[in-house]
Amino acid sequence: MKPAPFEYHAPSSASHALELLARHGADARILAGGQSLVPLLNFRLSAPAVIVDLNRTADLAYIKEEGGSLRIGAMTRQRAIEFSALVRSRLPLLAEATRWVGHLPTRTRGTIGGSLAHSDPAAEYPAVVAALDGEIAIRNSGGERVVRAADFFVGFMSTALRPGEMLTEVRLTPPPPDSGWAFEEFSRRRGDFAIVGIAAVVAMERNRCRMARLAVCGAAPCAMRLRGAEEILEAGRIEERSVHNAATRAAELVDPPSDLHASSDYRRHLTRVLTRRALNRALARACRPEAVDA
Amino acid sequence: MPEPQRIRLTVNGQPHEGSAEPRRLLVDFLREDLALTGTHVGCEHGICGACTILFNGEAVRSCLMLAVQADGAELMTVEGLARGGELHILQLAFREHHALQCGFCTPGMLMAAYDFLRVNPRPTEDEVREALSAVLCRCTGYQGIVRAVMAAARRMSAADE
Amino acid sequence: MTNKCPTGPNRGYACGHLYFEMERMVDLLAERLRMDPAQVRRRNFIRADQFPYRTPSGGVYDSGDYAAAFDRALEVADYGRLREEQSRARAAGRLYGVGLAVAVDPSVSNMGYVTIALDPKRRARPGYLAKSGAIESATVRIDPLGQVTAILGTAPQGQGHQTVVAQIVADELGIAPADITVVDEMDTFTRVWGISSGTYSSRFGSVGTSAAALAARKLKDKLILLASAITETPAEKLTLADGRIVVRGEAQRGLTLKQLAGRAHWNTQSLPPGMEPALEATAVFGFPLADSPDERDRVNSSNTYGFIAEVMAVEVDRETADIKILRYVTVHDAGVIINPAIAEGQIMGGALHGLGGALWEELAYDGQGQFLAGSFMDYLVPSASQAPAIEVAHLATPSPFTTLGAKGLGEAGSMTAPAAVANAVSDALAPLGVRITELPITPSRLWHLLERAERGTR
Repeated sequence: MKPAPFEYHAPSSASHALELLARHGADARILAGGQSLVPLLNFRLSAPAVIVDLNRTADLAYIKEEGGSLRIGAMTRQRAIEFSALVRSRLPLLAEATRWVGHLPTRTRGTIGGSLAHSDPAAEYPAVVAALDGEIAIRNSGGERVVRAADFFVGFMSTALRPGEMLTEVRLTPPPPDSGWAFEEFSRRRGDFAIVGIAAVVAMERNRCRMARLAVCGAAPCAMRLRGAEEILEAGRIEERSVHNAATRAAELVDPPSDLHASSDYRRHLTRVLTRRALNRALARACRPEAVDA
Repeated sequence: MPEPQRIRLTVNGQPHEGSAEPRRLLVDFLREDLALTGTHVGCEHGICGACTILFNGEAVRSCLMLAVQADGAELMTVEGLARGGELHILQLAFREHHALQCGFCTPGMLMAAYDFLRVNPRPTEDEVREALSAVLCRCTGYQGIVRAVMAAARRMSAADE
Repeated sequence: MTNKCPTGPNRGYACGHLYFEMERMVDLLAERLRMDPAQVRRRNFIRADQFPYRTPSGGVYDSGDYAAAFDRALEVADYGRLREEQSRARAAGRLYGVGLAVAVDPSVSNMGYVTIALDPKRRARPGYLAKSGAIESATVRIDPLGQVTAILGTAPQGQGHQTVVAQIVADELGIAPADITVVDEMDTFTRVWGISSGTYSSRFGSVGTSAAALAARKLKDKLILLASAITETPAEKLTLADGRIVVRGEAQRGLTLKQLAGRAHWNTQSLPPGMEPALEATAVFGFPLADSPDERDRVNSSNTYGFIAEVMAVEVDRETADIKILRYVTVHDAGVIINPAIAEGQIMGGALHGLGGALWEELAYDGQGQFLAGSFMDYLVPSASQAPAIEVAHLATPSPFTTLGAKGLGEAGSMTAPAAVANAVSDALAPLGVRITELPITPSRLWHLLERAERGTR
């Protein structure tokens, strides 16, 4: 099938895009990488009256380091993130997870802003941004506001974005140098959306876990931090059972959907397995092999 | 009814001009307006990869792009692989290793492989398989295609040395 | 009445289902008898000296040596070592399984078989018009400049018919395949064709190659008769080689095809008396054993019968229930193989096609009849990362019923891979008492089976 007719605009700046969004209100959809929206247009599952194409904007694609954090423009391509030396050295978790996002040809067009705004429950980027405690900059005609990742992903395919607003930047602070990280995913085929995916970051101080961040995709209506599991790790010394207990708790925290590809129980089980695997790898990276749970 | 927009672009080194409604897909514009039917339409939802072309030097799924987005761009389609009547090393390798049967996925496979080998000129077989999983094939079981891409990679990197 | 989508045969035409059931049953029998499933199979093969073999349903299997093909598969797979590996793995608590699958691989459909859908009483009525036969046509011609053209009746879609026909005609006429133009377009308005013409049921390898060879031979006979008259040499002393027709042992005495063709076309009065002008031959090959069904619905529904024997080793990840294929050996008897590369392409494609149905692809509906797999996001076609390494071996028992001894080879592992995987996974999970009774096996479904079994044993 082919898309239904729409009015088309390709603004050259974020400001111009915002004007268009303000003018057209609920009639307008933003076109970023198109890897999620265009299939919907082609199936006519989505038939917006107006499309605001951000691919001609000059000021929304960048990766820069500023004041100790990385700022990534919303229109930055996943492919650019994949091959960015800056990302690889400062945010290796993001670089690693990117290799699981679709395929190289989809990463050529797909953007980080699009992935976060679309908030597919099984998408990898929302979980990574949640695990990194990222901040999301949102612009509207009134100005800018910043939302923490934990508050950005609110439900099934829905975010804190209000009508007329646009995600413009993601701010990610690299974890401390002594931290470890890991991304684990289980999918039916390479490049598919995750059945379940876990992003983990741990910062250690001797054998105390100073900070643990765990986020899951595929096991909830949207990317979710597993705070209860994080607290188990942050509670005291990391011992043999700590990872096992955190993984068990993680599985209790999720209420996964059931679909053609996986049942709710299986997803819950995978949450435990992948949390354990991710934590083991993250802790090993943080040079704490004695904490690894076989 | 949205007006057709003017599109000027370069395809396989040649300048082209046309016009299209904003909703017209790039793959349809290539095939029908520019008569470049080498690029194929398989699924129209970005999974099968038969529509893969290069957009400003990088592989994209042309069924997920609008023709108007290609205004001012440089594209390469499968028709652009051969130069002066000589098949590209990848095409020769595909023929030699029986990497196509019905040929429907082949343009997508070639263009995806072409992009991939520019990014990773000396891949392992696993890396080739991962890259080729961007394009679906029903006929071959992928064995011949993987062999062809590995052979082409060896020849291409030898040629560069 | 149903609102579900209609379905139709697509490679293996339901043999994937047939052999899944049959081969699972053989393994269940082996379990019951506490016998090696390889042994049970060996005891039940048709013997090599029993071919052509008549089946109770009217089938006539042309040739085969099932035991030899099966043993070859076990040998290539090193079956004994796989079982040893399994013991070691089981001792370490790993879920390692070996699965076997064998199949008779029929090719070419006898059109008569469709009429078993009719009540035999109806077929016995006077005035009933029976249906039967499986034919294919080919034409080979030489133009006034000596250029050879071969015309197929099969309308292929990438199976390599043009390449194979060029090989066959080149062999018969003593020229190079590159010197032959093969025409594969079909227009029933202008071409010779039959009701059964086409590409399906793996028929080209069997009836298509026969038609091509016979047409080439008809033309060759004509060329020799013509050359015999021109060179005043008995026909038996002439042979075709390197684009020429020469007297055996006297290479300088002869003519090029171009010279012969030129004469035949330009000087038709010089042809031997009784010889039809024009250098063209059409052959329509049909199988003799392609009758319509009898009053007991017995019918030889196919005309050539190959054989496939497979061995697969898998490991199931205890935690994720993911299935990893560690080894996949497939042996094919498709009679005489004319082009090994093309044969291998069909085998690789067929095997992954079969695995697709066993592990990923499903036309799923919910309880309301709502179709759930309406896009490639949900209907999972295997990609290059899913394809396991496959080792292929051949064993050829030429068919006595085809001109070149070749049989069809298109369905291949689409018939056997589902059974092999189901048997291998069941074998891996045998210590837990889990048996695969349904396909596709997805990690989620497999995990539920494992969970239920483990809960049951606690």
